[in-house]
Amino acid sequence: MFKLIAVTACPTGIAHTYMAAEMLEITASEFSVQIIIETNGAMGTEHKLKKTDIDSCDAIIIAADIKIEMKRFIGKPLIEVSVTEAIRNPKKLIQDAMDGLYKIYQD
Amino acid sequence: MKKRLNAYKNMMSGVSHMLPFAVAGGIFIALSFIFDASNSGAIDFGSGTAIAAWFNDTGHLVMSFMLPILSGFIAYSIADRPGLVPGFIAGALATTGDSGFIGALIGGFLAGYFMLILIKIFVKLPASLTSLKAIFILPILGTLIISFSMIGVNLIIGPISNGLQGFFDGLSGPLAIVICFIAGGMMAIDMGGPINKIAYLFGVASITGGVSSILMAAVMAGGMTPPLGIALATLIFKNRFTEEEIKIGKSNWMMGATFVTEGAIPFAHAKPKVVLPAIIAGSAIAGALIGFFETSLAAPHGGIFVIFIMHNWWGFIIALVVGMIVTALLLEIFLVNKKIKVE
Repeated sequence: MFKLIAVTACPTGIAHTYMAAEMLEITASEFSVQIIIETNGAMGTEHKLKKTDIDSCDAIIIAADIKIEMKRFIGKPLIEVSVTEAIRNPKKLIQDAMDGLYKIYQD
Repeated sequence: MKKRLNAYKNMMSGVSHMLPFAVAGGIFIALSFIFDASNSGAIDFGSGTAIAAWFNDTGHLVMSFMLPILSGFIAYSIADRPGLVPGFIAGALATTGDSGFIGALIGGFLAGYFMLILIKIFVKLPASLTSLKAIFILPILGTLIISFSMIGVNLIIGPISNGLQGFFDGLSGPLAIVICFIAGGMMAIDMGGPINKIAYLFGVASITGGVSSILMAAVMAGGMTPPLGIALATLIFKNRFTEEEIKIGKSNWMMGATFVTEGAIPFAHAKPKVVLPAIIAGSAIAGALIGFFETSLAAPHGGIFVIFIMHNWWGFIIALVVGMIVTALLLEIFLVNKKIKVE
């Protein structure tokens, strides 16, 4: 099974962050893709990604409008978009990840 | 594109850390006026009684963190931990030097990029000196450079910022209605995207001095109207919506009440040509009414929970109700014989 991980974050941290996470989760289940999502909202980091998850995933989706901790993703396949993109086009985003349209993240 | 997204991200990292301070400070200052209601109009309004004075002082103390937090976390977003020291200092100097929100914004970016340059310069230091770099060289050099730069920033931006603040404070009459009309409409155009954020940041900038502003109230009304109007439409024009939409519509009551414009996104996304005009019109009219009633607000977030601290709060309720009805009616008109679907 294809394994995705994602991080969502928005400036105010009360709505977009969680809407993006929800859209990704619903869409992933439609695609029968496994997904683990970390949210960076006003409450801070929730469901923080474990190193084992990062190491074993097939692709990473970052949907964030603010700075998030990126060093942990160095050398990993990654797609970076704004948080609204994940709310509007979650299907395309996950399809892109499955099609390998990601870049290997460098610092 | 990538560069632009980064600048937006850096700025928003600062804004996102600043907002809770602005909310807490704004509400404390507003409470001081409530505890001092009998003293209204006097020169020491807000600190006439002991408890009012305590709320007022505490509120202003919390507010004084706003700009340092803003520029500190912009610099942090750019240069990571070394950015914090010069970033906080830039914001503090923007506060004392009167260049306000704009000065702090510029200062944050300057501090961040100066630190990036310094980090690059000192990257080849011998290993024995690397620990010295983080704890000694970077904070001192960073402070030196940013303190010096902020003299220039304050000199140039100070008058602009003061002019802008004076403009916000004196906003009234037809001009207030026009500005609030535009600001309200901007809040609905992309519901949480960059255009919405520009209007919102102008609103926040207008209250950084701990004063209440008409623009802030207009921005909040404009941001609350779209989800509320849609919620109202799904309630009274049930036959225009699917069951799924009516369900989402219900959650929009809560979203709207708490100033979360994003609640309108699923609807706007499904039928942009129908929903966008309706919510933009509703929000713009709500904004214009705020300008008309000169309702003002000192807190940057909170929705219905901050109505009680508004000046001319009844104007806010009228603006919201009218905005909601306009949005709902326009939706009904546009949707005749059509059903909008939510994916």
